[in-house]
Amino acid sequence: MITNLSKGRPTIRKGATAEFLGHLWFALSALVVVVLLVLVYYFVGSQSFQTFTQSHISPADFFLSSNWDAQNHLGISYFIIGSLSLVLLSLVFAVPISLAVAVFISEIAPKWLKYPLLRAIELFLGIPSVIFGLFGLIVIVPLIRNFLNLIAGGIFYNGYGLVPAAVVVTFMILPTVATIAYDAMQAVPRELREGSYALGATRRQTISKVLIPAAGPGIMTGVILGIARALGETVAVAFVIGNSQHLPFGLSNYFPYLYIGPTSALTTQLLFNFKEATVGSPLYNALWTISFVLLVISAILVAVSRAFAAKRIY
Amino acid sequence: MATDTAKFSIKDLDLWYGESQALKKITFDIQPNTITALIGPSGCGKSTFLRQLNRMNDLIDSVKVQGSVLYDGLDILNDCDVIELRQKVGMVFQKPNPFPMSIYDNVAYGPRLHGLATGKKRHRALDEIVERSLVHAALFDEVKDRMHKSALGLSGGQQQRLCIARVLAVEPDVLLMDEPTSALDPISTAKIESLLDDLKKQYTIVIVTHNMQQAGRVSDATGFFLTGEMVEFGKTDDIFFNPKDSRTESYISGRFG
Repeated sequence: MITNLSKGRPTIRKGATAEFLGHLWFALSALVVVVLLVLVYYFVGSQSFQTFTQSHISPADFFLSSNWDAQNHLGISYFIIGSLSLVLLSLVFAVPISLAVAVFISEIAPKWLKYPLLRAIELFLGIPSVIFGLFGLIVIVPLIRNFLNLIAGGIFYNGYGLVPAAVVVTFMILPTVATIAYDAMQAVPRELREGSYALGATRRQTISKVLIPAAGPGIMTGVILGIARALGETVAVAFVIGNSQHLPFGLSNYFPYLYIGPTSALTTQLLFNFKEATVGSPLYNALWTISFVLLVISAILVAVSRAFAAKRIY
Repeated sequence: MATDTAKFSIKDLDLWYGESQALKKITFDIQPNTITALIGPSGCGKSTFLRQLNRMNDLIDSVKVQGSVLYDGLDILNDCDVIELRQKVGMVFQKPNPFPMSIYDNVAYGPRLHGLATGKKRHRALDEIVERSLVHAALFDEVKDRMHKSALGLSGGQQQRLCIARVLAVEPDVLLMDEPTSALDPISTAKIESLLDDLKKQYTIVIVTHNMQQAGRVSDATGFFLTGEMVEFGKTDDIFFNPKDSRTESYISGRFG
C-alpha cells in the first residue's frame, strides 16, 4: 500500500504553536479548578482543627453541647439541629410543590402555557437570595406573627425562626428542584407513557405509577441539590431566622406549652459572629470548624447525588 | 364479509394531523379470531390507523377524526369509555417498552389498575394472572426464577414477549401490534410469530408490519395502505398472489416502498 506520508523528521505544521497554546490554556484552567478545591479544603480543614488543638475544646463537647457563649464556652449542637430542621422543613414544603409544578408543565399544561411557565421558572431561578430574605422579613414574618399565631395560639412567638426561614428557602429551591424534576420527566420515553395508557391507565395512574418512578433517580438528584442549597443558604435565612441560641422548636412553660421561635443555623451563626472574632481566639477557630462541617456535609450530598445520577435509567 | 359478525367494522374513516390528512375514507371489516396484517410503505398511515382502534391518537392534540369505527357493534369514536376500550383492545408497540420495574410488576400493572385480582386470596389470584399471562406469552420458563428482578435486564425479544404478557394480563379481546418485531433479531421474531398463531385462537389480532414475508407467513387477511388510503383488502393469499390493484402488485413485487 502506498501512502503519501513523508518520511524523515516530523516537520512542525503551521498553526501547531497556536494549537499547543490553546491546549495549554484548557489544561491550566482545569488545573486551577482542582488546585482551588484542594486549597479550600486544606485551608478550611487545617483552620478548623485548631479548635481542638489550639483552643483545647473537646470535639464531643463542641458538637454535643448546646451552650454557645463567645467568651467562655462553644457548643454548636443547637445550630446543627437548626440547620438540619431547616433543611427538612424546606423539603417538606418544596418537594411536593416542585413535583406538582414539574408534572403540570411536563404532562398537563397545554403547549401555549408550557414554554411561558418554563421561562418564568428560569426567571425565578435568577432572583438573588437577598430579595427572598427581604420578602420573608417584610411579608412572611408578619404574616406568621399576626395570622398564624392567631390560629395556633401564639406558638410562633414573634414570627421569626424556622418556619419563615423554611418558606424563604422553599422559594429558592423550588425552581431548582422543579426544573430538574421536569427534565427527568421529559427524559422518560413517550413509549413508556403510551404503554401505560394502552393498558387502560388514566393520566393520574400513568403519572404516579410509571412516570414518577421512572424519573425517580433524576428527581432525587434535584432534591439533593435542593438540600445542598437549603443547607448553605445564609443571607436570606439570616433575615428571618431570628438569630437566637435556642432550639428551633420545643416546649414552653406558658400556654400553648409549645413554641416554634427564633433560632440559628450553622450558616447564620457564621455570618453574625465572624466580624467579632479575633484571629486565633477560640471563637475564630470554632467558626472555621463550622465552615468545615458545612463543607463536609455538602461533599457528602454531592456524592449521594452522583450515586442517584448513576442510577438514572432514562 | 358480513358486518354483523365483524370484530371491527370501519366505515369512511378520515383522520387529520392538523391540516394534513393521514387517513382517507378507510372502509373494511376485521373478522374475529383472525390475524389481519396491514402493510404499506413508511408514512402510509397504517400505524395511525392501528392507533385509532384503541384511540391512542387521543393523546395527540392536533388529531381530528371523522367516520365510524364499530367494535362489536359499539361506536368507539363517539360513544365509549376509552379506559374500558383499551382494556379490551390491547396494544404492543414497535419498540419493547417494559416499565422500569420488576418482571412481575410489569405484568401485574394492568390487573392492579383494573382490580382484576379480587377476593380474599387477592395475592394468590394476582400471582396466577401473572403466571398465566407469562406462560401464554411463551416467556414464563425463561423468567420464572427472576420474577422480581428488573424487566430492563431482559433481552429485546424477551422484553417484547413481556409486553405481550402485560397486555394479555388485562384479559383483552383484541391485540393490536405495531411492527412488534421490527426491533428484534430473527430468532426472537420467529418466537413471536409462532406465538401469534397460538394467540389467534383466543384473540383477534391486527398487526402492522413492514416485513411482507411476515405478513404472508402469519396473517389471514391483509390490507395494503398507500398515502392514507386502503388500496386493497382481502385474504392474504389473494393479496399476495392475485392482487386486483396494480399498485398492490407493484408493492408486493418490490417495485417501491
